[in-house]
Amino acid sequence: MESVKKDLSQDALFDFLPEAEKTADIKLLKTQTVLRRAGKRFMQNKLAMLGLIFIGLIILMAIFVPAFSEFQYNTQDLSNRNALPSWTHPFGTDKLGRDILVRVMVGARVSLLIGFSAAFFNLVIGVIYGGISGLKGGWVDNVMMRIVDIIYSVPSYLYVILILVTLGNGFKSMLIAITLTSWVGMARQVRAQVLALKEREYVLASKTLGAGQARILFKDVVLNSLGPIIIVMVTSIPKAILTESFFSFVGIGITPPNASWGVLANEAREVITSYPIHVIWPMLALSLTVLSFNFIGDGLTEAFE
Amino acid sequence: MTSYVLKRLLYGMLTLLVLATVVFFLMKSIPGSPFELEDKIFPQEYIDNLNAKYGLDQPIYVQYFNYMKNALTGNFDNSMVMTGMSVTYIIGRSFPASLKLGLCAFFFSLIVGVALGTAGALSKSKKFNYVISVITSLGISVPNFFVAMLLMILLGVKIPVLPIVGLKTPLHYILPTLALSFNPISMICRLTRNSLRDVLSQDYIVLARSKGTSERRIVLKHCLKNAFLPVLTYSGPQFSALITGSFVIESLFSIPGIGYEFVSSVSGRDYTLIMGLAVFLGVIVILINLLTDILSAILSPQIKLEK
Repeated sequence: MESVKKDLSQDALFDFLPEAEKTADIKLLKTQTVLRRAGKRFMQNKLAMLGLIFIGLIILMAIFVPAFSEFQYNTQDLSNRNALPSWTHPFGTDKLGRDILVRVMVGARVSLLIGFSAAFFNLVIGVIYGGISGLKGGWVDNVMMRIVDIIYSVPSYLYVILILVTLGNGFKSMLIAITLTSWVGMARQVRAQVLALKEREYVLASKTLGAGQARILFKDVVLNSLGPIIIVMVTSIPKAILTESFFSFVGIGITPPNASWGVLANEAREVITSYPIHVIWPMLALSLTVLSFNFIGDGLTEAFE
Repeated sequence: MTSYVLKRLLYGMLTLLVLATVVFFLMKSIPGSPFELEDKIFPQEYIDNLNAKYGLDQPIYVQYFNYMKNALTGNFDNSMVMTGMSVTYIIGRSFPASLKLGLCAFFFSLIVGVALGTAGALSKSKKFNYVISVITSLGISVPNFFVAMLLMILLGVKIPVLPIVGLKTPLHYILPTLALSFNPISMICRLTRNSLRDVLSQDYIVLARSKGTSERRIVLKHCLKNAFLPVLTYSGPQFSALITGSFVIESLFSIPGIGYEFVSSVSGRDYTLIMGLAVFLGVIVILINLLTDILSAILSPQIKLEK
């Protein structure tokens, strides 16, 4: 070997690269992961970042405002009803003299919790259901997808109303109702991803190495389709928050003394002609939150394209 | 084509069957009889009579078959709360209001949405397109009952020019129609703008331009026709959603429509009415969505009919 090298260099036909230059190009070729590239593009999207900041802000306020305020969300002060915004009550007080800022932030806790929990349960149910359907294939897939089609083609508010009637009003039944009607979107997306990735070489490789179905689903499929899954998850949050507010607003979703944004708007309806500002605060919080989530969703869609 | 339509019809029927069954068993799974209220204690004989009247004393499978038979023929039981009124009568009484308002809102959204979207796609002004983007983002995010309340505050209370209760005169339709339309207008506008932009950059449009076809003819004949498909697939379900009544808007404006009836049947625990309304609304929505699917399959040669 040593002699061959010597011969070649003596021929002067070949020059050996110095060690440093050998690896110089390789560093440049190092690819960015899909996630990191999408993250970078997402950060450059101004509207999406604005949405993210607003959501962060409202989460912090939802945690700390009710905790540190001198008022409870149900402290009544009948001598100070329908007060205009002031230093002690930045959003004013409602018809029973309760501090509106604290109530809107307690409402944020309920509404955001509904949104985030619905998204979480959608993810769990959707990944398992869509994963099984896609991996099994054949008649199992056929039956499972027909069930999804049936759930999908009936308007979701019908199911929500029926479930609310059966289980009674309240946070828990609202969450169950929303989850039971909204997981189908995630299941369809996950199944589509499974079908697209199932025949890829690396999945075949891990199958050959003896990986089980669960491992293939979670490590090979889900980890490689994080983009579409995250997008479906994020867009399901504002949908859940809106659905909750619709039903609470007409009085059959979450009911007082619990205070979601829909409940607050419902209570403020009675005084809408005399104190329209009472309805504006919770609705502004709701609209801005949904808008922010939509901006984040749009930003993610563009980033993962 | 025929086999596709038949297949879709079959699935539609199956969906209706499942819906009706789910509604029945959900309502039956609620513990306690609807006649045993907490605050009112009736004598046992009275309850037995009521149960017999509504067929609740029979075994569950007999009740199920009776219910299915009635649902198929469009005859629902009497309301449990509003004595003497059949569910069919209540639907007949409340559906027209929802239908009229829904039609107004649908056609208003379709016209304004397509017009705005077309204007956006054709306009080269960045400012105009920016304004459209802001408006449609708001339209998609702001819940319609907030829009409704803002309109009520502004045009009904502060400057009282429009009525805000009921649906008596054509003027009464304006505010609820506006409130219902903001969201669909935004969606239709976005869809039209995006798909029209796609179409405008296609080769055959470039060809038509180079042949000297007038701009108006290009937009009306070549573009809109091809750009309309995404709008159609969105509009079908939106149409059925609008004509089956928005319970939020109807309850806000005190419109005696079917959505309002549904919500009050829920708060009043009127089980026969809930069942009847759920099945009725389900049938309408499923049929209209089926028609939309078939229509878009006919209009688009690209959609694969096998799947």
